[in-house]
Amino acid sequence: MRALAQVLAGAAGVLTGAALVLAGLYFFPFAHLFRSERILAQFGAGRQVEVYALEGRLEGGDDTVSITAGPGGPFAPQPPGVQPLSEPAIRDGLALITRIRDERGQVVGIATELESGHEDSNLLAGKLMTHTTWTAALPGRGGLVLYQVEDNWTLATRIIGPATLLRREFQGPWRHVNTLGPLPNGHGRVVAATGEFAGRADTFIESAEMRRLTPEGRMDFTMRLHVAFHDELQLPSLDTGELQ
Amino acid sequence: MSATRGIALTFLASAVIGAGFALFGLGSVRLVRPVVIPAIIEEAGDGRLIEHFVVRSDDLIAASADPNAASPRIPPGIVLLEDPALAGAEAQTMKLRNSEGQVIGIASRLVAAEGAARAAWWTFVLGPRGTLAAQVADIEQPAQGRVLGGTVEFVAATGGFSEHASPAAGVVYELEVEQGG
Repeated sequence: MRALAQVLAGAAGVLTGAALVLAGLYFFPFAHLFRSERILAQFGAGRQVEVYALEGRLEGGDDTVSITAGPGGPFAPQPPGVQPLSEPAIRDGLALITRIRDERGQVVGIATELESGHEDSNLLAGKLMTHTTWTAALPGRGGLVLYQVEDNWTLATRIIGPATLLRREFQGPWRHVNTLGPLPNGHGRVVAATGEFAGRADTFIESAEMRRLTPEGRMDFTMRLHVAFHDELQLPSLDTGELQ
Repeated sequence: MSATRGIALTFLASAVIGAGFALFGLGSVRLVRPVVIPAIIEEAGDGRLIEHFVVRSDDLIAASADPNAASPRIPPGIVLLEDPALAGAEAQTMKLRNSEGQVIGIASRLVAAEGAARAAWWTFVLGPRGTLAAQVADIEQPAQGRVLGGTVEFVAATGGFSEHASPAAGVVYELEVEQGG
């Protein structure tokens, strides 16, 4: 009888220890999860900033033209029939086409977001990261290619996880700066800029506001790309296509 | 030692072991396992390095455009770019293959007015190799594009870029990227 009690105590102890670690990890206040307000408040200080927004609406009027990811991805593919990213080299990726709007809500361009999984993603560090590249074409103005390391820890653990595993709709709003780098100040890098953006585009961040996510992966959200520019008077060159 | 105390100690010791196993297990999980497919690069002899990418017709993931454009709509029913600001615009996402036909990444092609011409912005995301950006400044001259820049392997990339189509062979785009030279 005593031996049985010892065995049961051992099993309960192992399970309790493991559960405590999981709970601790879930609730651990990783520093990078609490930087959104600071980053947003400081971004672009002393520089010109343009914001391009894309809206996702459950009731229609969505800016998303197409979205797909690997098989079993958390977001509903759109439109129906769009093929998933099934091949081994791309199955941890995402491909999005969207219209983008200026701060007055006017459609001013078209953009794509292409993602691949980040090899440094680590549960113990609270990081579920992607390499994310945005490309925006603004007719008559030029183009921007923007690269960031994006973190989706909170999105995955607090929003997508409960919505998909527990079949419970998320009700927000939840606001977050998704950009984690690669620049030391936590901003994303401008890979290339053409047209009137050449030589001016400096850094950028991506912020998101999630209002609803259904268990089927349909979203009501706003995503914004905040791009900071150097003062036009300090331009080294206005040649089309100058590299950053 | 009383039986109760012995059981309590067993529970605590086991909890420590369980926590250790959980930490080890969580730390060992590789959430992302990059698939590394070696680049197939030709040397042109003049110092230039040339890489070819291919997009077959069934590699197009999504394609939309201004309703007046003749370009394909994939899949059927996709939202068209009807906004006045997007007149003449096109947007495509696609899977990207190397010259041996292996899928090595994803790419996008955006077309819009820039200056007096319609330009095409190409973006290639090649997993651990990084991102590569290129532009054809005038889509009427598809052989005269150029590499704009990139990350990781392409962080200092410069050179020429061209796009071609071979519809008869079921190839939507044949892309040639030059570096150096």
